[in-house]
Amino acid sequence: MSASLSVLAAALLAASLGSPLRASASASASASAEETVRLQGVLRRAGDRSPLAGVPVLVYPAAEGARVGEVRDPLPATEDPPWLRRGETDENGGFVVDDLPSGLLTIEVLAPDYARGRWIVDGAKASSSRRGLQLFLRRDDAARYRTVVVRRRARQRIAGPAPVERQLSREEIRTLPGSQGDPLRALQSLPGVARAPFGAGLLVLRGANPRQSLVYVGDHPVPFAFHLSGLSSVLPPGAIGELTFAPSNFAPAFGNASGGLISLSPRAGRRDGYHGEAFFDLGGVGGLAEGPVGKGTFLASVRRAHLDLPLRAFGALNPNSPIIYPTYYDYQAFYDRPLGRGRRLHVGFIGAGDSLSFMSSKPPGGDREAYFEPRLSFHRVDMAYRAKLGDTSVLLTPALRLDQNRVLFGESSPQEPPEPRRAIVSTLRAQIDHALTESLTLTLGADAEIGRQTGEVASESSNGPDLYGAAGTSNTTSLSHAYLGLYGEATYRRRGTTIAAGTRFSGFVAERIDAFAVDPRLRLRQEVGERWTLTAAIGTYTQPWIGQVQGFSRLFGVESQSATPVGQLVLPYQIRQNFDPSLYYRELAMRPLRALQASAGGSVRLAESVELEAHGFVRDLADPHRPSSYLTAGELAYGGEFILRKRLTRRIYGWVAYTLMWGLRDLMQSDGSVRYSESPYDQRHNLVAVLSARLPRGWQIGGRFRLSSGLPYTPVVAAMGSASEFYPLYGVPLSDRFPLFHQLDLRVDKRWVLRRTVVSAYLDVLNVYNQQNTEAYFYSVDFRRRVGGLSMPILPLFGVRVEI
Amino acid sequence: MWLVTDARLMVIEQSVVATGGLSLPLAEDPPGVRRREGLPGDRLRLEAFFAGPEGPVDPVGPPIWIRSGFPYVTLRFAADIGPCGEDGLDLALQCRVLGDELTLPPVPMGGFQGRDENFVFMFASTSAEYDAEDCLDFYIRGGEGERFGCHYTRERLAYGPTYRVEELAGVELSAPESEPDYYAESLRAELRFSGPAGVRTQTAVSGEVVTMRADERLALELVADEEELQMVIEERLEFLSANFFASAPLLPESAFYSGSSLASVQAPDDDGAFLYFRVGEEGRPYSHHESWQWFYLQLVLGDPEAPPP
Repeated sequence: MSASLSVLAAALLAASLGSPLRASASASASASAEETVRLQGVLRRAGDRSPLAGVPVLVYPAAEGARVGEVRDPLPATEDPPWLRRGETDENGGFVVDDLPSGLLTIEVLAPDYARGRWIVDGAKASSSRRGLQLFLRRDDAARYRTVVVRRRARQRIAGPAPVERQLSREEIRTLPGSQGDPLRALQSLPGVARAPFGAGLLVLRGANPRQSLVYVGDHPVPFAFHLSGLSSVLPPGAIGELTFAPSNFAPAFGNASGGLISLSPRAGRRDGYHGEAFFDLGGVGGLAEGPVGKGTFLASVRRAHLDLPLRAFGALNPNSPIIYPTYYDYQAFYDRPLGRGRRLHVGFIGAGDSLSFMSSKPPGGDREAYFEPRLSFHRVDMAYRAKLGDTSVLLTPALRLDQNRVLFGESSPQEPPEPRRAIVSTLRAQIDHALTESLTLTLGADAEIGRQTGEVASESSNGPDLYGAAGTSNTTSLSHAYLGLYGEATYRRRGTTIAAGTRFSGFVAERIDAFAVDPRLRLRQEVGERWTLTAAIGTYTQPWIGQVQGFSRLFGVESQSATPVGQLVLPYQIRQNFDPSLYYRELAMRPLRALQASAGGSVRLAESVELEAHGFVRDLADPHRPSSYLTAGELAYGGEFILRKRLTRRIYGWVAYTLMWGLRDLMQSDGSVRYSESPYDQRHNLVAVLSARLPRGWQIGGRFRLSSGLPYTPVVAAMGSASEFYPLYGVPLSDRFPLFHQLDLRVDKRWVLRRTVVSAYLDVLNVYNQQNTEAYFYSVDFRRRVGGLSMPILPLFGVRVEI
Repeated sequence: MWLVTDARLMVIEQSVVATGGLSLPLAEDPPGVRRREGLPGDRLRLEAFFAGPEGPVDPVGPPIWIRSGFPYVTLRFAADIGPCGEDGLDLALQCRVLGDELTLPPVPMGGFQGRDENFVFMFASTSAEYDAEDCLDFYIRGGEGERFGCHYTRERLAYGPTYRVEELAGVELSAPESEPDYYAESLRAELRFSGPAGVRTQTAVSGEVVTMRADERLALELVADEEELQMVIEERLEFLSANFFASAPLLPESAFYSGSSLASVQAPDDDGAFLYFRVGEEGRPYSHHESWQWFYLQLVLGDPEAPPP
């Protein structure tokens, strides 16, 4: 009984629904001669809501029985419609189609790289709506991904025509397995960048000490580019427009570095409306907002890490092993404004802060204690004025920055923490580029860095350092410095040949001590045939070096072990050298380090978007003004990088990169001779293989495998002391190596493109097979026994991002 | 409590065997005691005690002693270190002690400040592969290879009593007048065994073999005659404290030990075990140096009431 009633009801419903359609269809047929409607609206890309310009819009009558609304997965029509009208979207995505009959109409949009869009609208209703139609077109899954930011021509090129100026597209940065979308971690998967101990935020470019390379954010350097955990750089990927990296042989415009250069360009906010994103992953939570403000645009972003949460969970399950909790924050705010007639203004505020707590294992009935906690931070404001006047470009950019470094010890530690180190640094650059002829461009510029730092200076007593590493005297003092550079370069470009020759003159002054350097630099590039490119470069790179922070670190002492409840932990030399916050000087002097860098190589395009590159490099660092008591006279690094790379086109990108290098340092012997021994950054083999593939329906999967030789460390060969208190006695410095490191990371992404938002989520599992790599050794109290530890555990990291 | 798994240096005992002109004559000390600290001109004997998992260990040959005014040995070659003069007045900052007795050098004006102390280094080997000379050479010049059979330590030379040192140094007196520090010759362990068979007590001196049953628990306390624990300041006695070591794990996790007593020691297994003690005297806040006294016991399983074979 009830069933038949419902059938009857359904039939009545269908009849009532059906009739208006038929009525309107006939009405439209009869009305076509009487009233016309106009369809207008805006066509945008689904997800980021960018307006789509220049896209044809077709209007034709709707089929029988069609329903108003968007047609999902429309198939191409099988027969021609009775009539067809055509319009096109303008530069704002707007379109207008006149003279249409009222009634149900089909709007169809077909654009390359986009899925077909089809909507059924009621002509009369749509015409009377004031707002007009808001249509969203979805990208085709297999389409090539285009970056949002247009590259600016006037941007400083850091290496220019020289061999290795590697770039990563934003899609590669976003989805590279093992890097959680971080640009500098993605960079660590490229050849020429060594794997640092603990995966720490140390950028070792072609064997150079991290303090010998510079990282630029915008037009000015930053004191550190990575947060301490090494899991994230100080800018989130959303705030970065471009990442360029030259492991050696960069342009004369840059100085104060003898290694390589990395440049992160801030992204200008979008003008087409307000957009934002909120992101959450186990590395941090943050948000970004951008949009127009007056005639310019702004972009602001802030981020706070809380990776300690899952690590605490892991730590609770493994109370007997020590663990590290990283926390950090960073913020960026940019304002960009075109001033008309080729001039632009940029104002930026950036800052970052970090702390890394080394936690002991959990004693029974107690809590873990942070026995060692380094902290860093910096804050910077900068401005850049660019103008392009005919054949001449001008850049003027000042900046001001505040830095702080400190280290805290646990309560049970007998050591007093050193005074924090604080610095205030101002940098300035002025540059003119002028095209003398079509092939010849001349660049002239000047840059300066002026700063003052205060901290704990520990100088040696006349007796030399204590066996246990305490310095003779230590007090808080300050140090000022000023570095000035003048540079000029001529670039000749014609028919596949590029020659850039220039020189940089630098003056360095610190506490009444000065040095002067002249660095000539030459870079060549030659295209051979359609597929080959050969490059070569040679030049000198002088860097001012203050004091000596090797060996006798105030923080770590001569013997660098620290007693932890698990055992005596000896941190590797590379960590000790780079994280001490005190200014430790043997003498308050500054001296120039000078590196001769030479690089040559070539690349061949094997297929569309597949390239094979091979480069050789040599870097010879001399320290001629060092005090006679110093043992290290210089460093030499040489080797080759190979990369077979498939750039992202439709679905797949990846590469296999292999670096083979030797890093040596000259050690003075007691009889005056020189012996070559390994430098602390000598990483013989470094192999990285990356592959990422886009699958239908917004899925993406990828993996990264990394295999690298262990870095050298100084072994403990005996112990000094009695009964219960021992100090390690070390063997020949850096004579032993950590074991081979290998790790596999896998990643899967899913992306949901909705009309007004894009939601992406990923799961990035680091160290998938939980390889226990040795990053440092824990020793028994008498140092006879040791166990390798502090490896990254298998770490699943997931992230979600919502963009509007 | 520490577990001794390899041969290690336990204690260095410094004792005065002859006085120079500045100290009270030895004849004035109580009979049978050894003076722990001396003044310039006194002759000091140095003894090193080693122990391992199988019991006390003798080094391979006598240890090498080097007296140094620096906290480390600076010379690059062992051959450059000349012998110490008999009167302690050599000009060299480092010298090799002949035998195991050295004469204490003068106290510098201003006293021992910062790191400028007078030290004695010891180099010894308990491994058959190398001897003390090899160990000294290895310490000075470094080198490849592990040398955990070498034992190195650095101790401050035992100067005292402190008020006399301050007088000689010409600094303002801060320490009270006191006698020189002595070793506690009457040092002994009061043992108390408890188990299903009842409770029994025993007293043992250093080196004694103590028998206990497998189901017994041992509590011990190190004691010395009160006369030997000196009055130091304000009528407070010195008291003993010790670091405890054993050659086998004999203590449960919850064992309690502190100061000079140890409780809940379990019986060893068939192989027996050794208990080692570094005994110090606390209560001397003005003491300039640290010196320990050596004491050890051997535990064996058995029936304590059975007659000896």
